[in-house]
Amino acid sequence: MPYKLVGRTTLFRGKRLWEIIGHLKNFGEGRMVVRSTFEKYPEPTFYRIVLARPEMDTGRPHMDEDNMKGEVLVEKVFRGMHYGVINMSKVAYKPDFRLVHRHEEARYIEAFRNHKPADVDIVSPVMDMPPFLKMVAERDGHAARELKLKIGSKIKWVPGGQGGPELYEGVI
Amino acid sequence: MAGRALRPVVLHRLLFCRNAQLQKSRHFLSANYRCDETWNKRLENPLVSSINLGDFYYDLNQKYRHEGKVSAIDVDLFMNRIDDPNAEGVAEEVEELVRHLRRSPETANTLESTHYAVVRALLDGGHTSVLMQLLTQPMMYGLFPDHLTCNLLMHTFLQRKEYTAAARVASYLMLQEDFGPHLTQALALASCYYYITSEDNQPWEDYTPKVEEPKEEVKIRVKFLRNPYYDDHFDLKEPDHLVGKTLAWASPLVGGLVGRSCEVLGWALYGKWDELEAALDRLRTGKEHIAASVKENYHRWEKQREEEYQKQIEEYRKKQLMAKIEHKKQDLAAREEVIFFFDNKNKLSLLLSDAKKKYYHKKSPAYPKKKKPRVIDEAYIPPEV
Repeated sequence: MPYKLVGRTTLFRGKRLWEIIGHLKNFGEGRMVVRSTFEKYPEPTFYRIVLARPEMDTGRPHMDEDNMKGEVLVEKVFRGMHYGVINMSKVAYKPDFRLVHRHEEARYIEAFRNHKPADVDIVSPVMDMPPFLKMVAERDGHAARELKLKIGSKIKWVPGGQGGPELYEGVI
Repeated sequence: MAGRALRPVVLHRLLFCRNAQLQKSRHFLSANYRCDETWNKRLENPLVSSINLGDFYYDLNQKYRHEGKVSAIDVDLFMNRIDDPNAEGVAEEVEELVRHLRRSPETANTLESTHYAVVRALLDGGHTSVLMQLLTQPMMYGLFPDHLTCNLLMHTFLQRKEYTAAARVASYLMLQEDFGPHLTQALALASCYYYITSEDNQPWEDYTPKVEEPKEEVKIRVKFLRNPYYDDHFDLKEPDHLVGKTLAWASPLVGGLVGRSCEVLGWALYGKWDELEAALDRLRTGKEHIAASVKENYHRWEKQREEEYQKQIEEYRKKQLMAKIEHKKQDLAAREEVIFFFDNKNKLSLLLSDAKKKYYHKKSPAYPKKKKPRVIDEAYIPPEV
């Protein structure tokens, strides 16, 4: 092909949201779209377009930069959880979207209605000190015997247990 | 392909056989569906009537050159002001303005009446190719007629025998996934059917803008490459596929035998063999269903007949039996009377009336005097002395 585009590859499979919305009347109000990268999750993930105002911009020629900007509000359901209406303008340029036909919408809605969220594991906010640290603390006279945990992204809760006091059995 | 798929010969015959019974130029909609009077009243509005088309177009062009955009209300006024669609250059001006509006952020404010006005202007002016160009490229022109307008379009094209245009309108309805009320569904089906079964149609033109590509390979650096993706809906280009998909989607809405047959035709044109098989199955079971129900009816009627016949026979037999029994009873009673005569003599004598019939001389007819016989009280029993 005479025009050869060179650049980084992506794993996106689909069209830009504006390319889909531009083909629909009323800018796709009320239609459902799905992102192909989220189809890997077993839980239902879809978006319902509430409002769309494309800017119909044209980028540099032959560089596939057309129709990247605009304002879009969607109702988001991600992995079975409903997040309400959010502003998705910053993500709409990604060529990852697929229109869901009207006769296929029921499948997604059913999955969303039947979805039961997984049980929430409640983790204790405190943990025993490692034995050597405990000895040092006792010797220095600190009152605390437990460490307070900051549960966030750094601590991975692996179901089935990952350790605990048994690890230090018989160490000291 | 499964064995039940249509052989090419059969398919060809199905698609291209000319139905000699097709009536010419059927009138699907009445003449006043166009509402010409109401439409012409728009020119009485001072906003619309105060515009001079030539000057206004010039002003809009200037505005576009200076500011880079046109406003939606201006375009709407221009479109509604067009009173002579056959004038020179109308089609080009309309196309240009619609394109300027659509490719700007102002497109979100497009008024509903603009779509209708553009359609009316191009339809009445006979600029079918321009209208199709606007209709089939929504990203560029953004023309979205509603159901009433689509009805009008399809009706007009079918009357003018422009079956390609009618089929394109129907495929537009399919792409929007909104066939609307029954009338629009039926018209879409009719448009596709006429397009398929007529021999010489206008060519199905591809209006996407052609990009001039250089002879030597030119490499362009972009940030991210897009993976090839064919969405099988907005990317459809082949007329067969488009019309087939329209038929396949519109037919179940219309329903009935027509719907099922057209659905089969649609899937065959589109080339989706799994759905074709499913539709053929439905058609077969539908036919079987009818045959089965007819057979059922016959069975039922036969059974009913049998039962009725049996009932009749039973009744007749019963009647006969009753008659026989009566006869026998009477017989027995008579014999009993005879046998027990002397035992019941006294009782029987009571039953006899004592009065003898008196016969009077016949009086001469000159003096007819009717004498009644003496009335005897039968309950009177003479005392026994």
